[in-house]
Amino acid sequence: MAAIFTAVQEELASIGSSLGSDGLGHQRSILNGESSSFETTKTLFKDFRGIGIPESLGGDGGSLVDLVVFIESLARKVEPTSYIIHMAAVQVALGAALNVSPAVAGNEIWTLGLFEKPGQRWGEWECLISDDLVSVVKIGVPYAQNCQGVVIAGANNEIALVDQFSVTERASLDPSLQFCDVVISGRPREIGAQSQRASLRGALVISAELVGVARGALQSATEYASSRQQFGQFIGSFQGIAHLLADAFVEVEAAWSLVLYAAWAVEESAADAVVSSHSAIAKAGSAAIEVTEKCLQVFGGIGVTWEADAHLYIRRVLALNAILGGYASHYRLAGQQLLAN
Amino acid sequence: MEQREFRAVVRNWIENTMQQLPETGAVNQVDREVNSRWWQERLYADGWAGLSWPVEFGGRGLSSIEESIFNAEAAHVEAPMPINLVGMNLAGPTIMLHGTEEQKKRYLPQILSGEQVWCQGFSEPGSGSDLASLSTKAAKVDGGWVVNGQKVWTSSGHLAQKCMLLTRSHPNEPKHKGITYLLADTKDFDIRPLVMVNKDAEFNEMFISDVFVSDDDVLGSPGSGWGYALSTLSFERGTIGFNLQVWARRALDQLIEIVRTVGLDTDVGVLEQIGKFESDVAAIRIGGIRAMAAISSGAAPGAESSTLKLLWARTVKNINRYAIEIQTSSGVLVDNLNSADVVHRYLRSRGHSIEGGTDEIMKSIIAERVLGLPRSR
Repeated sequence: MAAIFTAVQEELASIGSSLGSDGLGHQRSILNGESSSFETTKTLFKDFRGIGIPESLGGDGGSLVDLVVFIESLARKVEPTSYIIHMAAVQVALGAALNVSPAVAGNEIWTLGLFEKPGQRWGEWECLISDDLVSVVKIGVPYAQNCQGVVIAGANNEIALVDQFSVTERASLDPSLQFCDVVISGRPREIGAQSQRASLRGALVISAELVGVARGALQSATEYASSRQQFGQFIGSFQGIAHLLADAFVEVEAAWSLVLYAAWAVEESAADAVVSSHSAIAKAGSAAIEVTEKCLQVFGGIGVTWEADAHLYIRRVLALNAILGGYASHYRLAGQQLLAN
Repeated sequence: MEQREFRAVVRNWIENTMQQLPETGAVNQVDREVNSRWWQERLYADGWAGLSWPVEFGGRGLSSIEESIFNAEAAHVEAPMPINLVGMNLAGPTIMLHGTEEQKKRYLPQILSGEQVWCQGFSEPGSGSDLASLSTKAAKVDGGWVVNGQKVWTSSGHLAQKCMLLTRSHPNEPKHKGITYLLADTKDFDIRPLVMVNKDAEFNEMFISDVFVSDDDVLGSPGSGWGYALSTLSFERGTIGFNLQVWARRALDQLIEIVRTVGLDTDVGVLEQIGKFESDVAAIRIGGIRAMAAISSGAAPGAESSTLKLLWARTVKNINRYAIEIQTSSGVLVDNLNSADVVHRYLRSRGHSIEGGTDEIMKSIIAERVLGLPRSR
C-alpha cells in the first residue's frame, strides 16, 4: 500500500474541499424549506462522475482509493448532493460486473437499495433476484425520486440493477438526504455477479463521507473553542474542552486510516478485504456519531439551537449510519470474520 | 538480497534459535531476563544485532526496512526482547547523532554485543511529565562533573552498566538551557527496584551521590543536553511506534484464543466487541504505516505519534481487561500458568496510559500542536 497521497489524490482532496465549501448554507436552506440551487451537484455530475471508474468503462481511471479521498474532502461541510450516493451505487455495480455505462456517460443517476425492513442486518437481505420478476419494497433509499436506476442487493448477496419502480418520499431527520420507499416490481435491467464485496465498495464510499462530515464538525468546534472566551480565556485552553477535541481527533484519524486501507484492500482483492471493510465501515459510523455529538457539546448552549450548525453534522451522520445498516452490525461482522479464520 | 528472500532467511534463523531458548513458557521476570540476555548474545554472534547500523560500528549497514522485517518476524513468534533494547534503540542512535568519534568507537560496538547494557536516566521524582524541570545536579570540577540527585522509572537500571543521564549543570539558565547530557557509569549509583502492581520490577529508582563523570563522557556541549534528549525521545517514540501494533495485535490474538476456549465464539455481544478491538488494532497498524511513510517522504516526525500512542494504550488496556472479564470466575485465578499470565498482562497494561507520556499529556500535545488550540494546563 502506498501510504501517502499521490499528487492526483492531493489535487482531488483540494478540489473536493473547495467544491463542498458551500454545503452548510445549502443544507440550512433545505432544512428551512427554502429552495436551494444545486450548482455544485451539477458540476459534480458533469466533471467528476468518472473518478475511480476504469477508462475502459468510460471513466476517468484511478481507484476506489482516489474516490474515497475525493468524497471525504467534499463532505466536510455536509454538502447536500445525490452525487455521493450515486457514486456509491456505481461502485456496487462495478463490483458486481454490471454495465455501468449509462451512469458513467451521464445519462442516468443511480441510487442504492439495500434494506427491506427496520432492524435488518447488513447482508441479510431477503429479496429473491431472478430474471423474470423482482418484487420487493426497499426502504431508506436516498434520492430515489430523482434516479433512473436503483442498484439493489438481494438474498445471497446477489446484486441487480432495476429501472422499473415507484417511489414514496419519506421525511428523514436530514431533509437534504431524501429517504424514499421504493416499490420494485418487474424484470431487472441486469443481474450482476453474486458478490459479498460489491456492496462493501459502496459502503466504503459512504464511510468516506462519514469521516469527512466528522472532520468538518471537528474543524468547526476547534475554531469555536479557539475564539469563544469564558473566565477571561479561550475555552479551548481548558483541558475539559481540549482533551475532548483531542479524543475526537483520534477517532477521526482511526476511521480515516481504516477507510483508506479498506479501499485499497478491496481494490487489490487482498485477503483481508472483507474484515478490513467491515472494520472501516463500523468505525466510520461510530466515530462520526461520537465526534459530531462531542462537537455539539463544545458549543455549549448555542450548540442546541436551530441557528447553530452543530446539529446539521449530527443529522447527516445519523442518516448515513442508517443507510449502512448501523455500525454495530459491521463490528459484529468483523468479529465473525476474525473468529471464522 | 530481495526482501522476500531476506524475510525467509530471517524467519529460518529465528525459528531455529527460538527452539534453543534456555527458559520456555517464561512468565517470571528472572526467566525472561535470562532469555533476553541469551537472545542478545545470539543476535550479536550471528550478525543480527544492529542491522541498520553502519558496518564500522559493528552493524550490518542495511536499511531500516530490513530491520523492520526482522522485528516483525521476531514479534510474530514472541521472541524475547534483547537485553540491551535501550542501548540499541536509544543510546546508540543518540551517540551516533551527537557523540564524538571517540565516543562512537568506545560505546557503539559494546552496545550491540550487550557487554554494556544501557539505561535511561531521565525522569525524576519531581519531574515526570515536566521533564525539563529536572533537578539532578552536575557541578563542574577539574576534568569532569560531580553528580547528585535521584532518578526514577529507569527501565533496565538493575541490568545496566551505562546510563544516559540528564543533569542540571547551569542552574541559573532557563530550564531548557541548563541541562547537560552525560554518558555515565552506573557502578557508583545506588539502584533499587520498583515493584509494580503485577510484582515485576522492570523499573528502578537510582540514587546518585557524589558520582564523578569525566569530561570525555559529556555528550555534545555542556548546557545543550535538552536538544539531545529530544533526539533520544524521538528514537523512543519511533521504536514504540513500530512495536505498538505488534503488541496490540498479540493482545487481540490472545483474546481470540480465550474466546474460543470458553466457547463464546458465536456470542453476538462478544463478536461485536472483538470487531471493535479489531478496528482499533488495525487503525494502529495503518496509522503507523502512514506515519512512517510521511516521515520517509520528508515530513518531520510530528505530534501525530501521540494519536497512535493514545489509541494503543486504550486498546491494549481494554483488550487485556476483556480477557479477564470474559472468563468470569476463572479469569481472576492466578493458580495456573495460563490465567496467571492473563492477570499479569492486565496489570502490566495499566501502565500503558502513563509510560512514555501520559494520556493527558498526549491529549494536550494533540490539542496544541495538531488542532492548534490555545495552550492549556
